[in-house]
Amino acid sequence: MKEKKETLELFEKGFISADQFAAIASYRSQGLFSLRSEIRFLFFIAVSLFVSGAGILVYQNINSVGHVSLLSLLFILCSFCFFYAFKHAPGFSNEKQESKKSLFPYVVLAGNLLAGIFMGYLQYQYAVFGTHYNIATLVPTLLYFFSAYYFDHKGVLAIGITGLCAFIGFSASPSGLLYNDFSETWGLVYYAIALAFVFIVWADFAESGNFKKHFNETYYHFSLHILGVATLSQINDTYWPLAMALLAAAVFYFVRLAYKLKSAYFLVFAYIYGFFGLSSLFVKLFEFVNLMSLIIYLSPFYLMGVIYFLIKIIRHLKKHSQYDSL
Amino acid sequence: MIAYKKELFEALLLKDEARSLEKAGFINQKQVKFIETKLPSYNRADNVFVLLGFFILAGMLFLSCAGFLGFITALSGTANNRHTFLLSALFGFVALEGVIIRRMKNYANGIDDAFLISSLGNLFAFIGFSLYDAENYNFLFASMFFIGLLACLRYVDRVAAFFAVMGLYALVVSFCMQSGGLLKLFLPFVIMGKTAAYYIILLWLKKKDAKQMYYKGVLNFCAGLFTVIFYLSGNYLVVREANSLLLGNELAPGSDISFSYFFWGFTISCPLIYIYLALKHKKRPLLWIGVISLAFGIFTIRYYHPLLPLDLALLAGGLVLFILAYVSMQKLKGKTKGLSYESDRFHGGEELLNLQALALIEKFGVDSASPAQTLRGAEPGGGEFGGAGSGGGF
Repeated sequence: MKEKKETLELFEKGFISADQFAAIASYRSQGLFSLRSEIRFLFFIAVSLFVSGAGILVYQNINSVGHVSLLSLLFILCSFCFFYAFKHAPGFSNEKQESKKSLFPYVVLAGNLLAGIFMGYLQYQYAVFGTHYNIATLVPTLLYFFSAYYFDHKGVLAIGITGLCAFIGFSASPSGLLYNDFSETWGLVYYAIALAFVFIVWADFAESGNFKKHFNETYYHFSLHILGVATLSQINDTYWPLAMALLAAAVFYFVRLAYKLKSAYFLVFAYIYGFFGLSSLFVKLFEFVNLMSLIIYLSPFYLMGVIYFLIKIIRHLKKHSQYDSL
Repeated sequence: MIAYKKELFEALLLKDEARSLEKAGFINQKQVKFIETKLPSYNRADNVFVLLGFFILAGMLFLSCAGFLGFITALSGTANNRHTFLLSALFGFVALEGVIIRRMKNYANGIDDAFLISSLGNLFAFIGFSLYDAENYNFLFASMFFIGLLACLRYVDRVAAFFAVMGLYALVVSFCMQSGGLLKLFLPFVIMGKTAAYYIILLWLKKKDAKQMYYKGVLNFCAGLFTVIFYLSGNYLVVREANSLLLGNELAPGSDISFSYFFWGFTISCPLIYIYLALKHKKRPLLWIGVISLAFGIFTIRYYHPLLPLDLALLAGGLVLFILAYVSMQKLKGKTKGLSYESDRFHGGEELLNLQALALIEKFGVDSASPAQTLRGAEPGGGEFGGAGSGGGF
């Protein structure tokens, strides 16, 4: 089989040794075509379709004949998922671990999502928690957190985190986060900020206590976006200086974190939030002195400065990190 | 023709290869560092977030500069906003050539992409507005094709290639519409035939480019684009809706478009052929296109003939997919050659995992706790009660 042109050139220029070249050529000549991630994705799609279908089915047939049998069927399925999960769980550990069964993560996911449907149904039909809707959200959330930690499942953890946010009163899904109306409920934004702060503290604790450290990324991810969106939403509020100060602190923290984790993701998003904060501050400034034309004249230079600054930062990060994280 | 220096551009390809070899564990990190210091190359964003960040900032920079230019033209009294577009486009190209490529040495870094896209967009907007009175946009389509092609050749850019391809198809459609008669009637077949012809030309171009490989990425992108267009041109839903939209033929109830059996067959068989070919020739992008077009084909069937209510269809679909995935997993486990479930050293599949993580929060993320919202999720079409979230995959 003909070897790839780039590899050949690397070899010819003497960057890779003959042994390495031979190893690469022999590996490539096997013609392996791995469908691993595709098949896993298919499992994920299958589970999401099934759970969505089950959700609609349950709610559409409320009060109809055969409803109970339908529910019991789904309940059996849910119990089976948990039974399977417990049976094949590698057991709790502080470290990251994987079950030997390829199906394991998908069964855990399906079980949790189905359990969520049931608890929602019980609340809707029998008002188990009365009008304490928060508690009705909290109970499945606790289950998600338990499952996430016991079965070591990042996806379920993220579901649990959105559940926690919903318990406080805002939405943390990517599209939902942007459409939260923080002004509707007084103090909501500060509850959100406090929650994000709790995530950071928890992640730091997990880091030092060596307790499921690989979950930290997920906590940081939610924390950054909640902090960014929540503080920026307060720019026209009475207490905007406080919100901007919090944003500045968050940007500072996440930039340092990005260097620590060598993650371009956190770096770029921290700076983007910082940039929006800074720009809003400038706009705020011009509210006091009305100089619209000045903005138009100055904004290209302002943006050029920002881009120059970002290029410098990226170079700096590249120099101080392994290349593959960036 | 090409705006980039050969050595610097080739070094980029070599570095890519070195990194992928390192990731696959064939060479060590030291070697890669050595290669990177020995081969100077263009700056490129190696991370999609860096690309995104630069793209957003540079896009805003372009907009603010264009606003600045618009401000000046407005002040100077020639209140013809058409010329602002031309001026902005000129500014964009000058900045791209002089500063971004030559001085800053950027390629596919977000900054150059933003400037190229904005400049092309402004140029086409200028041409489009100039033609507004004539009500004949063929010139715009033609210029989209030629300018897009030139820009693609010069800047080795996918978006420019996209503009060129779109211009080409718009030209074909507009020509068929104006000539009327048979061409108008057989429009889907004309597009299918054209696409096949373009694909053959593309294969020839690929062969020509095999020596230097500059355009490899762009050509692969175009090949993907053509496969998508080929499928869409024969998809029943697209044909039927385009038929009523372009030709104004409202279908009477009970009647059907001509050749409907052919289009129904094509809607399902074409994706299957794509998937078969992809597996046979080990082409991953084609596999994804095939799977996505199959999903669209199933959606097409459901759109006109909802055989099952949505909930049952989702349940059944989930079950079928699960069984399919399970069977293929069992079959492909442990294979070291050809199709396999074992992981490939060169292809980790992180993109799919990230997509999965994002889809999970978006689809199953728990929304705020008010009861009204809880139930809103349970309405048909929503079905996302339950809750989930994620995004840990980054």
